[in-house]
Amino acid sequence: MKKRNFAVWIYFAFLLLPLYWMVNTSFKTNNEILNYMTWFPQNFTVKNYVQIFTSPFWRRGFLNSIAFVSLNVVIVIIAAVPAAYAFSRWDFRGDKHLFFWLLTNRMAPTAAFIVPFFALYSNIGLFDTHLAVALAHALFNLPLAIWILEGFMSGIPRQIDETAFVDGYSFPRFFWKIFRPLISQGIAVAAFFAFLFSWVELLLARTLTSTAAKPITVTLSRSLGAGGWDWGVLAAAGVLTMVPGALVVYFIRNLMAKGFAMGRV
Amino acid sequence: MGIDVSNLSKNYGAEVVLKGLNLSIPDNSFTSIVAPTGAGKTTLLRVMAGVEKPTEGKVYYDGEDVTDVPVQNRKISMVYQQFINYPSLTLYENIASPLRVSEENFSEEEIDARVQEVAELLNIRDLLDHLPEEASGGEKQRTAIARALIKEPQFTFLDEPLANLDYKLREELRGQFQLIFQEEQSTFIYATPAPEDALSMSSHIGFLHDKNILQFGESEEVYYHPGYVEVGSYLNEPQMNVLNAELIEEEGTKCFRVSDELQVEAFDQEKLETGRSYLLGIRPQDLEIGELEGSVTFDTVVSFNEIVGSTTTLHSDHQGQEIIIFVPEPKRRPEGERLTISLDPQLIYVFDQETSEIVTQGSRTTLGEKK
Repeated sequence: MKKRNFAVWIYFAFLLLPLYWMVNTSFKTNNEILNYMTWFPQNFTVKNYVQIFTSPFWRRGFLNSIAFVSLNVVIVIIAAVPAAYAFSRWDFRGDKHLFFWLLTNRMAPTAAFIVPFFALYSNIGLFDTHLAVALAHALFNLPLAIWILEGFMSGIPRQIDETAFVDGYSFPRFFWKIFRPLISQGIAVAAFFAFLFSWVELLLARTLTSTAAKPITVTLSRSLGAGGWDWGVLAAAGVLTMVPGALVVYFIRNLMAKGFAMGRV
Repeated sequence: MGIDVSNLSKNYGAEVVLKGLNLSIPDNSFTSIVAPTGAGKTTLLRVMAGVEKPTEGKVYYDGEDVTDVPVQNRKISMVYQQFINYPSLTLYENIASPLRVSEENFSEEEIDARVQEVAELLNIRDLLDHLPEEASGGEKQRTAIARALIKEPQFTFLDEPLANLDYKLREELRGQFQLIFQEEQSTFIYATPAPEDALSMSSHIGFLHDKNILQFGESEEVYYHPGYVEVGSYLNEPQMNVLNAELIEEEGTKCFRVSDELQVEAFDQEKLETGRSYLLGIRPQDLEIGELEGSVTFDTVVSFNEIVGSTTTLHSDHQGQEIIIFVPEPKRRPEGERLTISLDPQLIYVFDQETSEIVTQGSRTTLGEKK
């Protein structure tokens, strides 16, 4: 028992060290960062954070990210719920092949889609918009969301649907009143994965935006100032980038625990 | 009137479940569809209810073709073997739900009155504010039945509603069902593999066999006058003995020859053909251990005892043919014990071996004729 605990602590130490180092760095001055290796900030400062919150350059990055990530989650859930219902409940020609093919989309490397997306979006005027990134991310998130939700829905007896129809429910009313509460956890899990992918994805987000919709991840990777890298600000931005993810996980952790157990994650 | 099913077939892919089935279920009857598990009872119920479309054939409610009418527009309800309730709604809301979605726009008072009434009937009034997951199996099924009854459906389909309950609860609910269903003005169609369920509750029985209804009629009629050996054998509990016999003729009298030792003089001799093979159906409860006057006696060897409740189903062997004897007490007899069995020839059903159709039956096999 003791040995096992020990191994777990070692694991967490390795896991948390880079995170700790980033938080640590974000409260240091550039001078300290570059010249000493210190476990705690010698001259504790929040200057880096102040700079981010006061600079429209950083703020816009955050807002852009939040905008297209939210848009992406909404698109993915709106499209995945009916699709998953169809895969779970109905038999149609090629349903199993289609279902598997969807998942294989998730396996394709992001880079393979860069050129077609860029060309397409430039032509139809979507380039450098939030919708462009949200749609591109949906290509990867949608299959996963359908896969997760299908697992959830298949865990709900078909007879519940039938009973509702026998009782006289119309399909939309049944879906909203009876079915939606049953799959809410699945929706939370699917939304979480869509959020996660979209929030950290860099390649597509960078290619499909220039200035108007530039997300925070891109800002992070491009924030080379005239005086070289501003390490402190960079670390602070990194910390702030993790905050939304941590918040999401915190608020839906109960839903997710059950979701992981039930669905196909 | 009632439900008419004409030339109904149902396939799932290449698998044929029902084929060319015709059935007329009378109005205000309690009809049981009886068959072993996997024979297609559930499919038949689902097609009649309209939750599934037939591959071929028509379904009529009161003479009206409803084959293409969606289930929402039919005045029916359904109870499943699994306890199906809406998990996110309380039992009260579960029961009230058909009234809430009804086009008749019931007032809150009307809904409450109806919910309380059916909840009272099913003995779940104290649980109405619970969620389904907080209720026991029996309570869940009571709720499902309450929901089925509240909309006062024209037809109520019950698909093995007692199958997932434990024995005692089953007995209890079965007794209550009879009272409940007598009060309700609805036609009930009940699928069950259990002959005792069918016989105790239903006014009519349809026996499903080989993708079709083999026999349909009033319960007593079907029980006392089985048209086929399958029906007679299945509907008896424990199942009817079926013995292979050959018809021989000795000195002008025809006899059923089961073995050298067991030969029974035939009745209705003109219907029988010498040299032909017949199946003799004998109910286990009609066999007596010991010698009785006026009976044919033969010997069997005990193979094993099966104690069922407070009775015993005694399995024995007579020259390679199994003989089941019903003993109305829980008593084990040692394996290998030799028993003398008495059989009243007038309690025998005679079926044709090739077609399995009934040829004739003894004069004391019918209701009221037993000693």
